[in-house]
Amino acid sequence: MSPWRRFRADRRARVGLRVLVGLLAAAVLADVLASELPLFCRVGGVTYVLPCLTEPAALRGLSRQALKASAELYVPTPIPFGPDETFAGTKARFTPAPWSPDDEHLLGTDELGRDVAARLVHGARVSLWVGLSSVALNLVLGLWLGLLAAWRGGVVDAVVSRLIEVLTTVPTLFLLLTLIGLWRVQGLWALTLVLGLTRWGELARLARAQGLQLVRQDFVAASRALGAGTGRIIARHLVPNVLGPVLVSAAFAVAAAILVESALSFLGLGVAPPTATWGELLTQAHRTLTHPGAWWLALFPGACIALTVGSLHLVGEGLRRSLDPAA
Amino acid sequence: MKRLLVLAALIVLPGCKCKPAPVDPPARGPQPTEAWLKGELPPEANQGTPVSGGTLTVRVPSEPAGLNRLHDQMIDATMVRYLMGPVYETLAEVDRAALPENGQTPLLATSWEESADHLTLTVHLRKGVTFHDGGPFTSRDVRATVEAVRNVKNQTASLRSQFVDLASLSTPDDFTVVARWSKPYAYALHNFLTSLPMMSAASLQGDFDTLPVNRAPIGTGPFRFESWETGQKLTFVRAPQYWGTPAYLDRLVMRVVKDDTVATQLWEQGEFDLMTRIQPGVWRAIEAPVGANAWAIEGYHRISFLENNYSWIGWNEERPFFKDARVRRALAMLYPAAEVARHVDLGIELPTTCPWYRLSASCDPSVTPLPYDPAGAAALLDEAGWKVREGDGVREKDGVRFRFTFLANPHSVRLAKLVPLLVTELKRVGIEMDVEKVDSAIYLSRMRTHDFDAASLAWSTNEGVRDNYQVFHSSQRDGGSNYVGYASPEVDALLEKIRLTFDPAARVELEREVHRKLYADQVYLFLTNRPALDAAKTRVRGLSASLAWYDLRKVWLAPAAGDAGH
Amino acid sequence: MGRWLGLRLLQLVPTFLGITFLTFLVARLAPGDPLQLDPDVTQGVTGQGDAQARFRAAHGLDQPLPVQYAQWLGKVARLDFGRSLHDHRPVREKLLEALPTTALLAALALLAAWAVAIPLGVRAAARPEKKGARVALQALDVAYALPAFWVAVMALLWLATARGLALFPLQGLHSDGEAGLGDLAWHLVLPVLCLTYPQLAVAARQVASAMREVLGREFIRAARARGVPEARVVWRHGLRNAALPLLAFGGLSLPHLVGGSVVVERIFGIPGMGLLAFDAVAHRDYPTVMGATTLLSVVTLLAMLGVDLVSALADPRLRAPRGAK
Repeated sequence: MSPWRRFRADRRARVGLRVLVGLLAAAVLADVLASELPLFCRVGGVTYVLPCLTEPAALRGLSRQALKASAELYVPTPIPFGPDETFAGTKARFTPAPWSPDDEHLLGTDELGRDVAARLVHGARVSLWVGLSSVALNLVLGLWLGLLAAWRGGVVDAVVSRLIEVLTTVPTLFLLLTLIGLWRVQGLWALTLVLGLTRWGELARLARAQGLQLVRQDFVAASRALGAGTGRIIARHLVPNVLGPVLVSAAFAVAAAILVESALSFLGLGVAPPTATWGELLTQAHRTLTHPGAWWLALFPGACIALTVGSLHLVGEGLRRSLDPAA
Repeated sequence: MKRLLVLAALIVLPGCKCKPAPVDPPARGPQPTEAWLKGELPPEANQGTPVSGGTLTVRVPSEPAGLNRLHDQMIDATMVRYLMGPVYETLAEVDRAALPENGQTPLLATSWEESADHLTLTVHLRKGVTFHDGGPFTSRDVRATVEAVRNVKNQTASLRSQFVDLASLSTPDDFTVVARWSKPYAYALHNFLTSLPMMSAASLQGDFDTLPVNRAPIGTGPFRFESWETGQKLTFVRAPQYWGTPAYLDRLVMRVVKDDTVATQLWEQGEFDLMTRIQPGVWRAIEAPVGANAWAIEGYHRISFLENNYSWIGWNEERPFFKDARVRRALAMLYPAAEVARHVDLGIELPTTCPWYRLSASCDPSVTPLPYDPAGAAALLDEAGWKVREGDGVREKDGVRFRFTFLANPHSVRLAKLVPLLVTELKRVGIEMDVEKVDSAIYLSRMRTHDFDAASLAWSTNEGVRDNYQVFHSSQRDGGSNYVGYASPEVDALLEKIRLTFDPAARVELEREVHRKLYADQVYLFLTNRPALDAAKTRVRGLSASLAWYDLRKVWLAPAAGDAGH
Repeated sequence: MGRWLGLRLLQLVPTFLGITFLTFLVARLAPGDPLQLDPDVTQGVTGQGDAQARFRAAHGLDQPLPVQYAQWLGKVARLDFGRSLHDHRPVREKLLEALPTTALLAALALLAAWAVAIPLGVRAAARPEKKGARVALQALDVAYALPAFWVAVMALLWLATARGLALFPLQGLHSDGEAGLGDLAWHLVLPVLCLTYPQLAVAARQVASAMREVLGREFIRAARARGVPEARVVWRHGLRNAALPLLAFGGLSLPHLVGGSVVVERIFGIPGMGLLAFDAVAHRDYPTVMGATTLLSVVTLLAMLGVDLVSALADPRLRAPRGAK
């Protein structure tokens, strides 16, 4: 049975993968799922398709009520609020925000009356983006450096090994705290880059260990004898053969990166406001913990993080089992 | 899924207790009194015969870098309040009865005379005063303190700026000090007498940054330093050798709790006799007359008083967008004051237009705030030449798009709430505002070097009167506090004149003039005055809340019978 | 053995240099100036120019960077981390105040993790047919997925606040005026719990897989065949042989434990290295930031060396000099 077959036969891995795909879809489609602008509308005879994506200039500056009133056809997004829309809604409310969940805001609002559901959907983008792309960078760096070390040995190996040791010894959050706190790191890209450049040690260690076993095997020696260059050997022979176990590790690394991102956000070192992130909602939850006790600000983002990390784990475990059925 | 549901139940449980009571029984539980709601101390809080003894535990929201009041890095406003009076004493102190006007009552000086030309000040020192280490207080110590401030090698720039015109300081005998100024300055006497904590000459020997007194201060006040557990608490005890009326309290404990959420919880568990910097959300939440709030309504007096501070948003006038006062006025008309007041400030902060103390005469009551008026703002922007461009709907003038970056301090909760509101409002009229989050250190250095488009700060001082020369005079653009680069010859002239005007009434007239001009020019988008929000256990007596903070020398604790206990 | 140790120690030198260089680069090249900070902005700060130049000269900030690094390294070698730019205390003093706290937290968390993970993992490996251990492992996976700061905040809400059960203290390591061990232990329960549980899932799985591997070996089958009681087979023969990979895992999880202390110490207000570094970053206090990161990394490095050493002592195969490593 091929690993993929085994993976598909694994019930828990399947569940994990489905949840993950769902979350990814939510992140990609965030603008269609939650926006101040509708999915479709017809105003003054002009039909707008997906104005929530295109944001046509003609609809700019119109409030939702005005648009709704003047539209002949109006199909709102499933969550009819944008992530940055403050004090959204038509209900008369007499207490200051945060407002608890009701029929208008199903998951409640934050301190600025922004819809929690809308912010969660858009926050998924940040979490998944940071998690996936920083680990992609980790993977590229880790695989190349790890395999290069394994292949070349000698000085290259010594240097890379020390580098790995340095990166895995310095406590992660301390390094990130210093980097992000002292440097002006706050954009999505910058954060991704920082995580991508600092967290590849474990993957490189694994790639190197796997590579060392391969290097001793005949087919690699044969290709060397045939005069293949280092890059070619690594890319053609080593990478495909170590990718499996490294990918398993990468799945867990994505989960860890998402946890780190949310922790940084919680410490006030995440992506700058007003960008919606899960960690930022949890910061608000901490602030309003007992007064007025906005439990919905703690529960839902916490659940989102747990769901993402949990599903990544199921996928990682599934990968591990399908690659190594003996374990 | 089942696990998640269990989780939900667990979170909801503690959360539920503090939700306002359901509708049917409208008010079950203790009713707060009118004074409590207003944050005024009821009369009984200051009645009775003071008794000695007991420990007062105060919540401190930040830990000072050190306790040397002269050092720039250790000068921060909260610490000044804690130490000045109880531990360190000045020659004279601010006359609390005269607040917010400048006035001085004798402390380490018994009397002083100023020459008619305002250039010579003779101070007679109190005899028989000793420092906490046993040494006598004499004119040598005054000289050492002033010299420490004036020494350019020491990090004392913020106090030193008050003494640049001090020409000489002589000490004819042990108990007389004569200060001569090179030019007259309206606040020279007040600053000299009330801003310098007297430190002993012996304790100022050595490297200024690492003096032992930076960690263990030695002063002349009624409380003596006992211990400092870093990150935890500072303890002061009654000083036996004090020259004046001894303090009532045996011990003062300043507990450092930086996190407001944690502080609230500790407060609820009765850990603080005096809780400071209560968050607006908590202040409002404990007003509901329900059983869950009994601990606060019955156990504490709420105290709210106006400090001398105001927050503002500054537009860097070197940027093309903000040169024109019409644009700045338009921005003020886009500020959603009502929404901010309701949802961010919860009706606690007071909107202002004035760079002076709200309760002083220097603010001109005839200045009315610009109304929230997006349409009017759009018209003003059009008039100033910032027209909406076809296509992306962003305003533009001479090829410059109206897109700027707001520098935000990530530690300010209030800004975190305010900024998204502003982004939305500006977007509606075709202005793009990005947000850049930088920590306090970078924040200030960028403001000082004018490397920002827009930013927000609050000015605060402990005095009722402030000289705004450093903030608004055009000469203070480099090196001073005129971060927005404001330059108006008229205001410059007025500010210079204020510094030479010794008659308070005449000064007030000039200050009102400055207020009107600054607001018309919209030098800042003036935001609000923030009142102090504190609470004291009902057994704490003799607290008098004022601009000059509490006078901890007069505080005493009623015997335990009156203790609400927790 | 001596040669192995010598080689291992020699390898520490470039790693140590790498760590210090990384720390130095990150901290010293960062924008922003330590002098520019005053948290409560008060009015009237003028004449900064000359003061800044003097400040820089006094702290050696005006030298070229390589010189600064060399100077700093020279001092670090003598355990002198300079003076804090914030409160001007010797950084060593601040570090020594904070280090024991964080070390205690990390050690307790590691012990707690083993105390739960070993019985669970062994049980899961030895009796794979039983459901209990497997379900417990899955529960740990769920727990792992919850962010530590979230759990910490919730633990505070339910177990420490007056609105919850108020079983544990909210903050700090000691009640006011108490210094007893019992009081300390009482304060440590929640922080250690929050530091431990993210490690539990990984630790338990590690134990289970190490045990599974050992229990499949020849000598175990031989022992069983000899009629050695099953409990003895598992706990004596099995665990003893699985101890090495577990030990190695302990060494590897140290950086995570120490890193996690930033969040936990901040939420529980514990004056350890994490809180120290967090505050130092906010104050742009380079010497303290650099000192904290360096010291922690070195301690972690030494702990890992210790783990290696114990492994080497216990495992004769390791005593031979290892080729590539």
